Amino acid sequence: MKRVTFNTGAALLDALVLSAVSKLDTYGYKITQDVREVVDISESTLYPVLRRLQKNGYLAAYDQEYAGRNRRYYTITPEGEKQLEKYRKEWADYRKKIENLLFGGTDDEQK
Amino acid sequence: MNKSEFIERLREGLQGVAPEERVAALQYYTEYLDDAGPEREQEVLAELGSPEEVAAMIRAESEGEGWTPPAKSGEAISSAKEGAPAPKAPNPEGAKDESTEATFGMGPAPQAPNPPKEEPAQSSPPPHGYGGQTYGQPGAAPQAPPPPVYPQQGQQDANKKTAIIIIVILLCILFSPVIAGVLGALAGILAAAIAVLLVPLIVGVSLVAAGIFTIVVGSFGFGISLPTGFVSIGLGILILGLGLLCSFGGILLLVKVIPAFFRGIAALFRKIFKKEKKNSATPAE
Repeated sequence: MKRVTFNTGAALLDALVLSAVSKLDTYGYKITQDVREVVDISESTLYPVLRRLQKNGYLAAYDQEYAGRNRRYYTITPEGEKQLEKYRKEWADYRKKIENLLFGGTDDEQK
Repeated sequence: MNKSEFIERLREGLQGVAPEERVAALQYYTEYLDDAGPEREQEVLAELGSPEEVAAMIRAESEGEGWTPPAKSGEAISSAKEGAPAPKAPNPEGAKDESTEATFGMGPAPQAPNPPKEEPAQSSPPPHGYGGQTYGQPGAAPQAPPPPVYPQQGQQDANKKTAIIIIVILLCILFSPVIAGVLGALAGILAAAIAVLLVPLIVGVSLVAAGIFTIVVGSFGFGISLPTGFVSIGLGILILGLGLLCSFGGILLLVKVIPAFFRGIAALFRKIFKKEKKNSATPAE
């Protein structure tokens, strides 16, 4: 697995988590492992992110039994969906700028 | 360190944090470690960093609430987007909600300090407001310090267990005379009880023997005088009768009482050994 090293920004993490949850209701450990596939974060990084997304109303949580114990699943809210859409647009924009910079865009384009 | 120790120390570290915040965090990490499973437990624990660090992170998040200073990020966005091709998206955003203003531009700042220098107006605010603070330290710090701590703790665990086992063994040895004494006393009581129960039988048998003897001896009385002989034999028969009565009584007593008595003793021993099952010495008798 290849990890991108320059993208541990908070917004990116928010976007990745929202995106992971939007596909399928899922739980903390799974989300962390999925995000860790691409971004070099520690096992403890995502708890505050999940908490914040919940507080902002982008994620909701519910408890469900799994293998005889409880597991908290996260699900995306309509606001979360909107936010994710925003993040996606921004990312496309951001990527364009980065690529300009990295692959020989002109200075005018940056400013 | 194992899972429960981690949770316990996290619980302590979260003291003073709002109760619901604490409960949520403890639940999250308990489930997290359960999901990691036993084979990944140590790896995950090492990566999580010390419970104190995790607690500090949660604390910072829940106390700080606003992890993104709104004013600064607003600036950052508008300036970053000034010359950008798509100014429509960021503007409403910056006005609406504070927490979502973070753009991707802020993330890479700490790792890639060079590009910002070329365009100071655009990207200099991000490094202060974001990545450096929130993610720079938790990402890097937890991974380095913990490893040397854990082996020691594992050893301490093992040492504790060994110490407990040794103490239990020593206690058993220490108390073995006491246990032996109790068993001996019980055996003595049992023997005395049996002896008491045997008395009627012994008396009866003795009387039977005495009766027969008296009859035999009394028959010689006829040599002295007829009345003497009759008296002696009569006395002998009387004693014999009494002896037989006593013997039967005694036998009846033994047959009926002794089994009940043994049952009682057995029950008593069972009780005792349930209480102190550490020593499995067999009960006397």
